Amino acid sequence: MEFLHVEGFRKQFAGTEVLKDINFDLPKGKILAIIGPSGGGKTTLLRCLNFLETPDEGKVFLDGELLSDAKATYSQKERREKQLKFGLVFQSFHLFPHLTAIENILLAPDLLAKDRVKEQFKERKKAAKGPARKALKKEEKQALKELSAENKRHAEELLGQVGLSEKRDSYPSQLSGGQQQRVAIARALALSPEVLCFDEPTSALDPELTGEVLKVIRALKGRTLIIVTHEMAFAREVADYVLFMTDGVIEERGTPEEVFLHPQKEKTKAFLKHMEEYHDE
Amino acid sequence: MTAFWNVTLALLEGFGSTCLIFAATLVFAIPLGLLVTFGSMSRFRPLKWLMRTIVWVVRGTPLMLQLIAIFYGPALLFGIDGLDRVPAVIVAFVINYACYFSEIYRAGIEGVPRGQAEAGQVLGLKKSQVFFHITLIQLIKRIVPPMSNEIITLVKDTSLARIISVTEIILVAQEYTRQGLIWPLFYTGVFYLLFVGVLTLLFRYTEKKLEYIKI
Amino acid sequence: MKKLFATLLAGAVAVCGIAALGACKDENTLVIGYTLYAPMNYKDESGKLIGFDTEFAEKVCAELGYTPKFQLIDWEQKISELESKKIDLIWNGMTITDELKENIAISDPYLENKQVVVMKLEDKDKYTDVASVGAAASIAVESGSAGEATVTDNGYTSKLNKMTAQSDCLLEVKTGSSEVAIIDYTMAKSMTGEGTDYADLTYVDVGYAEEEYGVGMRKEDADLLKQINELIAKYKQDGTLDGLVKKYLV
Repeated sequence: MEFLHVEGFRKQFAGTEVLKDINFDLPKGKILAIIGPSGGGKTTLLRCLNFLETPDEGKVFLDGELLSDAKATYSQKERREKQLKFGLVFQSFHLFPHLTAIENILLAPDLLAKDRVKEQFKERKKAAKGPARKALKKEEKQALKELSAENKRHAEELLGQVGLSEKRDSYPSQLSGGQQQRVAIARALALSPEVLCFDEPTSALDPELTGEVLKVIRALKGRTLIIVTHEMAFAREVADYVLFMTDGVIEERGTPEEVFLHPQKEKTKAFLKHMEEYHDE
Repeated sequence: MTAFWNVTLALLEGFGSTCLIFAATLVFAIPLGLLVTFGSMSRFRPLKWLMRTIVWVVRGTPLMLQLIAIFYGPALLFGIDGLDRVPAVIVAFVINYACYFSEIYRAGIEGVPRGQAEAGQVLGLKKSQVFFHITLIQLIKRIVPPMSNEIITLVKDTSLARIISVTEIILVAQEYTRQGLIWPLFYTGVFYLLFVGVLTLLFRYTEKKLEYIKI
Repeated sequence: MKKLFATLLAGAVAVCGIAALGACKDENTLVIGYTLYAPMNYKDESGKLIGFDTEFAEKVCAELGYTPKFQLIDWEQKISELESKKIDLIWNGMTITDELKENIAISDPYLENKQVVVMKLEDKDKYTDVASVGAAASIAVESGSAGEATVTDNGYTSKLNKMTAQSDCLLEVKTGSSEVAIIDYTMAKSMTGEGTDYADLTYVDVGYAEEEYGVGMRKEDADLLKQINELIAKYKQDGTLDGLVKKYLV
C-alpha cells in the first residue's frame, strides 16, 4: 500500500454510475495526472477525495491509515480534519471576491488558528478564576498573535512563490485569470495539504495565460499532487504516473511513457489521437 | 405662524411613532428574516414547508388585515388580553417584513455561486465560518438594492398603524382634517420625503462602500 | 450559529413578554372609544379633548367612581375594539340602530339627532326636500353611518361615496368630489358656515326621520348599562344635559 491508496470508489448520480470501482495508489511526493474525455468521472473523483461529494462506496487510506470510509459517518469536526489532508484548486478559481490576494490566502489559516488556540485554552480557562484567568486570556491573545504573524509570513512567502508579491493587496477583479489561479494555488498551499488536487487548472484560461500557471505547478515537484488536465504535453512532462479515465472506469494506467507512447487500449489510442488533432488545429 | 409651528410640533410627535415603528421593525425583522430564510431553505422538510406556508400567508394577505388580526384576534378568539396597540403594530410589521426580507435573502443566498461555499469547505472552514466570512458579505452586496426598496416601502407602510389607532403622523394630520384644517395632511409629505431622502443617501453610500466587491 | 438562533429567540420572547405586561388594565378605569368628531369629541386650541360627549362621559365616570381613559379608535373597528376589550364604551355621538343593537348593548337615548344635507352655498336652493336630494349626482356618507342608512331608506340612486369619517364627507363636498353629503345635524351645525374652515358650505334639514344617540357597551356589562341609564335619566331631569346642549350645540 502506497502513501495514498484509494479503494473501490463508486458513485451514482440519479441512477447514472459516474464512478465504477475506482482503485489506485500514489507514492508520497509523486505527481499523478488524470486524463480522459469530459464526463468520464475525473472531476467527481477529485470532489470525492476532497469530501465535496460522498462516494456511495469506497475507502481512502493515507500514510497506511484508514482516512475515510464511505460507509462510516463522521462528525462535522472529524470531516473537517480529514478534509484538511487534501487541497483542491478549482477550474474556475473561486477566489473570494471581497478579499485581497493576501486575505484570500490568510482567511482559512487565521480562522483555523483561532479555533485551535481557543480549543487549547478552553479547559484551562474554565478552571482558572480571577487574575489567573485574566493572565490566561492575555496568553491566549499572545499565542494567537504569534500564530497569525506566522501565517502572514507564510502567506507572503507563498505569494512570492507564485510570483505575485506585488499583487498582495489587489482584489481578484483586478487580477488576470492566470494571476487569480496562482493566488488560488497559494491559498490551497497555505494549509499544507498532504495531497493537493488540481481540477483542470488551466481550462478556464486564455491560452496565453496557461503557461504562467503551469510553471507554478511545475515548481511544486516534490509534493504529492493529483492533476486532472487536458494539457497532454504538460501531463507527459510533469507526471510520474498517468491514469486514463473514461465512462467512470480507469481504462489504462502507467508511466507517462507507457500511456502516451505505448497505449494498449483502443479507447486510449482514440482519445490521444483526438487530442493530438485538436492540438494541431 | 404659531398655527404652523403648533401643527409642526404635533406632526413631529406623530412622526416619532412613525420612526419608532420603522426602527423596531428593522431591528427585529432583519435577523428574523434570516431565520425564516434558513428555515425555508432547510433540508428538514416539515420545517421548510412550515416556513414557506407562513411566508405565503403573510405575503398573500394585506398587512392591514394582519394588523387587525394580531391586535383584536387573541381577544376575540380566545379571550386573551393580547398586545397593546404599539407592540401589536410592531409585531405585525416585524412578521410581515421578516417574510418579505426572507425572500430577498433567499434570492441573495442562491445567487452566491456554490463554488464560493465549496472553496471555503475544502479549506476546512465550518459552515458558520463559511456563512459569516464568505457568503454574508457577498449576500449583502447582492441584496442592498432590493432591500433599499423594501425599507423605503416600510417608511410609508407605517401609516397603516392608524387602522388600530396608533397616532402616527398621518393620523395626527387626519385629526386636523376632521376639525376642518386640511393642509397638515399634505404637509406630512414633507416629513416622508425628508426621511426617505436621508435613507436614499444612506443606501447609496452603502452601495458605494461595497463597490470594491465585483461579482 | 446555534448561539445566534438562541439569542434571537430569547430576544423575541422577551419583547413579547414586555409587550404583554404593558397590556394589563386597571380595574377602576373605563376606556372610552371615540373618534374626533365635533362637537361631541374634539380638541380645543391647547389640544385638550373637550366636547359634549367628552364632558358627559367624564361626569358619568366621576359619579360612578371610574377614571375615564379616552382612546382614539377607528370608527369602523368599534365593535372589534369593544368585543376584544380594548375599550369598554363607545361614546361618540353614536346613532342607535337596530343592527347595532343586535351586536352590542346600547344605553337609553340621551340626545336627539337627525341627518341633514351638506352642500355648497350656491346649491342652497337646489336641494330643499327629501326628493330633490335624490337628483344629486353624487352623495358622500360615512361608511356604516346613519347617513348611509338614510340613502338606502330613501331609495336614492346617486353615486355613493363612502368615507371612513363624517368629517371627510365635508372635504368631499368642499372639493367638489361629491355634490352633497348626508351627515349628523350636530356635526354639520358646528363645522359649517361662517367662522369655520367650511365657510363655503351650508346644510339643509330636508326632514329626514329623527334619530337618537346612545352609549355603546358589551352586552355582558349589564350592571354598567343599568348605572349609565340611571344617570342619563337623572341628568335629563336636573338639567345637566340641557346645559351641555347649550354649551356645545346652540
